[in-house]
Order: sequence, then C-alpha cells, then structure tokens
Amino acid sequence: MIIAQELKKHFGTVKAVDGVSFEIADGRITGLLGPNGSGKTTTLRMLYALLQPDSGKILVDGVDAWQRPLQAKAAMGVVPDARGLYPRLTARENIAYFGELQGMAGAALSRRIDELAEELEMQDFLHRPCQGFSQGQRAKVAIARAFVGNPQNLLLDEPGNGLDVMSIRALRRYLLRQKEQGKAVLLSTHIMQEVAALCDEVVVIANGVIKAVGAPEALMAMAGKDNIEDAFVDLIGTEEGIMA
Amino acid sequence: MKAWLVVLRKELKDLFRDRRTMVNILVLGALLGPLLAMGVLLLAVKMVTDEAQKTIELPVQGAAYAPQLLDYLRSSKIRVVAAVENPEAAVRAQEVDAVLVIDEGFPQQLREGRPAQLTLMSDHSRTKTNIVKRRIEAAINRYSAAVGNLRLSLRGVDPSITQVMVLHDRDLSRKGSDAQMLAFLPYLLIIGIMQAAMVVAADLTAGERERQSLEPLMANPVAPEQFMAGKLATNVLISLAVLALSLAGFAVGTRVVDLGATGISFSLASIPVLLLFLSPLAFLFAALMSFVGAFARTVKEAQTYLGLLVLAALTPSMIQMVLQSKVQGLELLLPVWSHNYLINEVLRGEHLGPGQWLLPSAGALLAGGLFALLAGRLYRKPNFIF
Repeated sequence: MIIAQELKKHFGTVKAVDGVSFEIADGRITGLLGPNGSGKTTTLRMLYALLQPDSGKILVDGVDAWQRPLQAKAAMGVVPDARGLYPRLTARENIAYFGELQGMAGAALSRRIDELAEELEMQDFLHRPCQGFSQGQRAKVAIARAFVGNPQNLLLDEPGNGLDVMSIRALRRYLLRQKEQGKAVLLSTHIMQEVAALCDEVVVIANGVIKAVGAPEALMAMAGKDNIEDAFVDLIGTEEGIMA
Repeated sequence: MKAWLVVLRKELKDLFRDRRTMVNILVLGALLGPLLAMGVLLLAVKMVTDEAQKTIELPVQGAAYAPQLLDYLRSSKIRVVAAVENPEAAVRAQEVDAVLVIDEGFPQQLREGRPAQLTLMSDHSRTKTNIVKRRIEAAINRYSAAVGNLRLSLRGVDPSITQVMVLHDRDLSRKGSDAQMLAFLPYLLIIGIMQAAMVVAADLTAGERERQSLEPLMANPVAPEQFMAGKLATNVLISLAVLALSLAGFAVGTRVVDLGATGISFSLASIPVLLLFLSPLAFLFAALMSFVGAFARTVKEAQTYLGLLVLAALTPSMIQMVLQSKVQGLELLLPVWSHNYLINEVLRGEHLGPGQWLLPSAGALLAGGLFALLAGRLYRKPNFIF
C-alpha cells in the first residue's frame, strides 16, 4: 500500500504537482489518469523516491519514501516511461541484473525469471540479446525486471505506450493476476480503455491537482456521462492534451 | 553480493560484448602506443646509424686548392664530388646536405703557417644534416690537428704541450639507455590509459542515459553511490588492462625490433612496477572522466568533452617531454606531472624511493577521491537521472 499526502513539487515557476493526496490500496488497481503534462510522471517519480517532494509525504507500506529510500524502493517495482534495456545483454541477463540489484541470487533468481517468462509469455526471446526487440518484447522485459523481486507495490508509467493489441492484452492479464494476489498496482495512463478495463479506482489529475477520485462507474455518474472518456473530459474541464 | 560488484560484473560483460568499444579501447589504447613508439624509434635509429656509416657525398668548391685535405677526407668515408652551381640554394633545397668551400688563399695561408680558411655550409635545423656536418667537422679537425702536430714536431716541440687538459667523458646512465629517445614513452602510456578511461566513461554514464536505462536502474533499492562505484571500478580495471597490454607491447616491441646501438631496453621487471605505480593514476582518470562524462546526455557529447579533457591532462606530459626536469619535493604530489617523470626513471632502470612511491600515489588518490565524491553526488541529482 502506498499513501501520498499533500505532495507538492515545482520546477522554477511551474507548479508541476500542487498538493496531491491519494492511496494505492492492496488488492486493487489504481489508475492515475491525466492528460500529458498533468503531473503524472512527476508524481510517480516522487513515489518511487527519485525526486524529492517540496513538501508532503509518501508512505510505502508504512515506510517514508524519502527518509528511507532503499527500504521503500525494495517494496516497489517500477516501470518508468523510460524503458531502456541493455541491448548487448539477453532478456534473461537484463532481468537477472535487476534481480541481483534487488538482492536475489542463484537458483531462486533463476526460478523467478522462469516464472516471469511464463507469466509474461516471453520464453521465445528470453535468451536473445535485446538489440532489435519489438516494443512489446521490450515492455515485457522492462516489466519482468521491475517485478523480479516480487514486490508488494507495482508502479507502471504509461505501460501501454507503443504496444500492439496482443501485448496489451497479455499485460492486462498479468496485472489482473497481480491484483488477485493482493498486490497494490498503480497505473499511470492517458488511455481510457486501459482505465475502463483494469482500474478499480481512478485518480484524475490535471495541472498538478486532483480533479476527482473514485471507481470508473462513480466518475461517470459524477459527470453524468455514460462513458469514461466523456466523464474524463468533463472532469478535467478541457479537451486539451487528450488527443496527444 | 555487494551492489557495486553486481554493477561491475554486468558492466564488464556488457563492454566485452561491444566489439566496437573494445576495438576502440584495445587498438587505440593498448596497441597504437607501442606500435607508434617502435615505429618512431626504428626510424630514428635507422637514420642515426645510416648517417653515421654511409659515405657522405660532399661537393667542394675550390677542390684544387687543398688536394691533401680532400685525400684525407676520402679516407674518412667522405667522397668529394663536383662543385655545385649555387651552393647556398642547393643546401636550402636539400639537394645536398653540405657544401665545403675552400678559399683561393687557402694554399698560401697553409704554406705561411697562418690559419687556413674553410667554410662548411649546411642547414643546422635538420637533424639528418647535423650528423653529416658533425662527421665532416670531425674529419677536418682531425686533419688540422695532425698537421699541427707535425709542425710542432718539426720545430722540436712535443705536440702534447698544446693539450693543456684532457676531459674524460663518462656516461652514467644505466645500461646506456638513451633518455632522449625514451622521453615520449610516458606520454604514450598516459594517453593509453586516458583513451581507455574516456571510452569506458562515455559508454557507462552517457550511454546509460542515451539508452534511457538510467531511470529504471536508479529505481532499484541500491544507493546511487554504489552504481557510481561499480562503474568506476569497471573503468579502473579496463584502464589497467589496457596499460598492462601496452606495457607488454613495449616489452615485445623492444625485443622484436632491432634498436641497434641505442641500448634501449625495456625490462620485464618494470611491467609490474609500472602497473602498480600507475594504478592510482588510472583511478584518478576514471573518476575524473566519470564526473565530467556524467554531464553529457549522449555518448557523442561525452566523447567531445572527454577528448578535450585528454588533451588538457596531457599538457604536463608534453611540457615534461621538452623540459625533462627533475621532479622532487612537494612537486611529487602533482599527478601526471610526477608520474610522467617517474615512469621515465623506471624505464631507465632507476629504483623509486618511498617518497617517489607515496607522494604521486597520494596526490592521484586524493584528486581521484574528490572527483569520485563529486560524481557520486551527481548520481543523486534529478537532473542527472532524468
């Protein structure tokens, strides 16, 4: 479980995040929904302790993320927007590297990689160097290496970017299984279908502030619309950025 | 396993699979130095021996005025050839190395026992003609002395009376090694380490940013300094491997290539000494390169910065190559400056004293530690990660 309290972050005169509070509960998929430039990525970077908030607090399973970053990071698996792999290493080696950095080793690590490879359907390319991987293959490796340590909290920034339908469906199945296992999942996205298909709760963010929080159905009811896209436009009060 | 060791192992594996980078490091760093050095040495040696042994062709103006002198020159492997039209122009155009001009008054001056006048024209700025010039001068001086001694003997004077002093020349350099020729070896060794450090640093920091793998990497539960330390260790190891290879290259080179009478020898025992002695320097370069390289967003950008850095860091070596001055006292604390001097001492077969070991190492480790610290702090900056 991750709790964000009154997070604020500015860059120069721009208030990127201006007092954001929400909760990512265990056994649920929470969507962080917002147009481009709304502060999603900045919020996420504060959550996984790479960016210090100007004020506010983040608790990851009760641990203050900025006071004890290593302990907090150990409880999180992060798939940032930047998903660079090491092209000369194989998919397996890429995953194993992160596994070792997360304190795993030997047979346990090897078993865990096999497990992930099966779950994410990546046996075909597990032993190939990542050079020339498709977007879908790259995304799978990025997800596998982030979650190799089997953390309680999973954070994904725009995971559907550039993926084909098959890859997106595989990703959804994977995230739903994680939810069933009681993981807390945060999905930052601007894609409505993803939200409708996956999220139990949606945090709508725009211009660095939270516009609405609730289940997709509740948001639609709140906005008086019958689909999540219209509800979203209504909630953030503009169409700006959605088409991007 | 400690995180920095995990990083080190991964980076080594990654680098060794990158054929282009490895070729860059090995060819430019390790082999170019010895090859270049051997090539230059071989040329220099060949030129010196050639010019010292070959028969000099010497155009003489006014050959008719000094037949005995010219006979004597012929016995010193100097062949007198026909006079040239315009001696000055011929020397300047390098058509001939030197021209000897004998005055019209030469026979009369010789007869009257006055100093007889000769002029030797040559271009002093050319190494090759200098050797020729010295040989001609020596031959003429020998002839002059011989005739002078005969004159004294005829007058019943012991010729040795003109020899007021005798200066003995004793060469104290070990194994007779030619320091002049060795002066550029430290330069090549240092440039080799720097080249390696530069290529590795560019790949390890800027490369990580360029591939967009830094953010996910830093999201791992590992202190940022551990990443820096692992990458730094990779760089130091590769630099030392390059250094070992270039030293081996020099050792093989000086054995395979016939360096003739220069007496340059490269003792195998100096390889471990130099490796150990230069380790702190490799650390300094790696730390400096990691720090500066961390400012670049792409590998290309990093290589531009670091290339300039290589030039700057080589300046002390270049100055030393010219000055060849002794480095002592607190000056020994200056990295590169002291290393350059002491590499030469080791190559000449001298033993390094405790101060010569400690001070340069302390200087390099201190400066390297400072840059490593700065680089480590950089790894915590959001600007660096994103």
